[in-house]
Amino acid sequence: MIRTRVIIKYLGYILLFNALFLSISAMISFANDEDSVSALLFSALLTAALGAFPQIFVEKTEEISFHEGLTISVMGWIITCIVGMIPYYIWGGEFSLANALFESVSGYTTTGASILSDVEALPKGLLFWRSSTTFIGGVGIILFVLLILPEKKGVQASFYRSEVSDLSKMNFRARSRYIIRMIATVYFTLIVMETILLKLLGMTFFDAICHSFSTVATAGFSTKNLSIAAYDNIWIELVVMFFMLISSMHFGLVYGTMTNQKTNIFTSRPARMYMVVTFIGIILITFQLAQEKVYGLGESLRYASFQVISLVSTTGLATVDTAKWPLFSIILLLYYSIQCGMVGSTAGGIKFDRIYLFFASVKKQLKSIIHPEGMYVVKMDKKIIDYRLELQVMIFIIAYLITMMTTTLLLTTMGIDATTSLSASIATIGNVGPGFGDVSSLGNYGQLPNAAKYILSVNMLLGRLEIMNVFALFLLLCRKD
Amino acid sequence: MIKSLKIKIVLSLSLLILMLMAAGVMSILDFRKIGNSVDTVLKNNYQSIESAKKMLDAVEREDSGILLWLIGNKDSGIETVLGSDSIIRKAIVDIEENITETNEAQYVRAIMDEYEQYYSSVMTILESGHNTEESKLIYYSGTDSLFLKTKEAINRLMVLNQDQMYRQAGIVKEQSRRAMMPAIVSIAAAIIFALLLYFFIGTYFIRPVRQLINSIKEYYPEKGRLSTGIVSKDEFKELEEEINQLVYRLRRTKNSI
Repeated sequence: MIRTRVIIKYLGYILLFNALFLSISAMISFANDEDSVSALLFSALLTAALGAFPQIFVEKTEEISFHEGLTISVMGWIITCIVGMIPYYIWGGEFSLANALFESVSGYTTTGASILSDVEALPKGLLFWRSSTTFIGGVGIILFVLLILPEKKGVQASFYRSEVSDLSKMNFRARSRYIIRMIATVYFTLIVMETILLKLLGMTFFDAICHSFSTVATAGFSTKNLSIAAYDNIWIELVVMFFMLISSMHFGLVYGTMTNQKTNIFTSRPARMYMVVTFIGIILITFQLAQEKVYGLGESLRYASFQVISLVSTTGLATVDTAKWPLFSIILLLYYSIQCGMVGSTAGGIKFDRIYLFFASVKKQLKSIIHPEGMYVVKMDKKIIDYRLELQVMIFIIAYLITMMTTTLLLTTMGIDATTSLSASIATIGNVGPGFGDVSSLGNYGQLPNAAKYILSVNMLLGRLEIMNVFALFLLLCRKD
Repeated sequence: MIKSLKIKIVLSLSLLILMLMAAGVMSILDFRKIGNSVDTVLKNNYQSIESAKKMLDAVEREDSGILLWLIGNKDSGIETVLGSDSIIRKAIVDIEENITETNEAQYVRAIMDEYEQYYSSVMTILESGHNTEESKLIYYSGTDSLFLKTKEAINRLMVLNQDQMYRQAGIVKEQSRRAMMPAIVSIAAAIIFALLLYFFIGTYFIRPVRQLINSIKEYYPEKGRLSTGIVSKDEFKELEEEINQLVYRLRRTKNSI
């Protein structure tokens, strides 16, 4: 049985957590004497009031069920996205209702797609709020709330089960309580390290922290209209590239590497394969860009590296407009936008591990056809993959592709061209951000019809919640018993 | 955990009041901003536009004055020129005292320069005596173009202020939208509050009463303690405990009798 009051209580915690960041943004706005201070302050007060309300009535909970955890997880994301749009909508400017919702969902889901044509026109308070949404969304608001809450172990374990996918649990070898701390340690360490490095390389502290949030959360929001290209600094690009790549790898492996454990990035086969596949993409695109004289060899390597890592990690920061690249490079980049980073990271998309598992399953099937009497299993890092998990992965990939194609079709019915429709669909469900056509790396989603923005907002949420969780909750709520 | 029902009610209503107060304060501040912006438009731009219009009108009359003089209506012409000149100079002083926009001072200086040249050309005609042909020549060779240049300079100042006025009007429009927003958002939030309150009243007030009624209805002494299933630790739980105590005391009294 799902206890509504318990769900409302935890949704309240989520709202209170958002209110904290809204208050910080309001303070930044106040310190800079900006006109966004009232919008942010009011949003903070409203969110805090709504969040505190259930805490007055609902008693502390010893345990929550898996179904309750799932409901809180999905509803938490939806409510967070709605609350996140309030300061944008009140402030106005380019933010209509559809635009505010799109920007909010894009931030929390770490997609990084924007409707803004002039990011630099935003007050600093709102820019910080925009970056905060990516920071909160990076490891997931539920995990953040669990870090702060003095709740019982049973509650944490239940949330952990509903929030973290089965595949990503494989590389975590600890109890859920410690895993949450492990994820947080990696997340905060990476953010602090990147902020320091970017500051040392000449960014302002504000820009450095906003870009660190954006990079480690693999979101892609920048404080500049030209994204990272605005700095035209190869060292900044290298630092951002490194952190984008690291953040798109399993945090358990990153933690293992940081603490010099046996299971780390270099010993994990999927992680090594992921780096090799990324490297192959960089080489192929560099070769084509240089051969077709789009840029010189050095520049081709520089831009190809950044864009491939940016898209594969689902960050979406840009140093160049990829829409002008040759077709082969665009198709390769589209592939990386579908494949994306590894499970257990802040990246979105199908995830490399699933693609890896898919090919391993295909290999197993082929062997079974050749030797029908044989017994074959799929292995990943020397661990036998359970048949149910294998099936789960296959269903996820199919559901992902069906959702992607449905969105593309819906967008084309609105008069949007095929390239823009397909790439916008890929970029939003994969939480990548930039696509091609009208929504390329230096473009924005502002010119799309409002209906398209709503559809893409749902797409981003579906992508972030890994589709099946949303459908599972839908079925759960439709159950008659 | 808050145990008292009274505190629960007071706190929940305080939150609602706090939210509505915040919306009210924010709307008031935004409406004050709108008032200031309208004031700014009137003070900064509208006054300058009015002065520029006066100036434009006076320059045209001054030109009519010189034309009157050229066609032989000397006294009336001189009177019109001198009258217009004083109006123009007063308008320039008014504008100089109300410089609010970037580069506005340069625009005013340009008007002064153009006008001084035009005025000295007019004075040359007036001082040239009664030779109408020579005066006409001076007028068509220089004064006329200086008149147009002066008008142009005044027009530029007017356009600057008009543009700024339109921009300011856009800002006022945005501010009025912003002033409305807290009210709209508060209405939506108040509805959510009402729904939540309805839910909590149902869960923490009505349900315990129902539970108590049902438990008392179904209670018989052999059952032992009265168990209602109330989970909260508020006055309802206390009431359940008190009923149990009462039953215990009654049973003891009955036994002693």
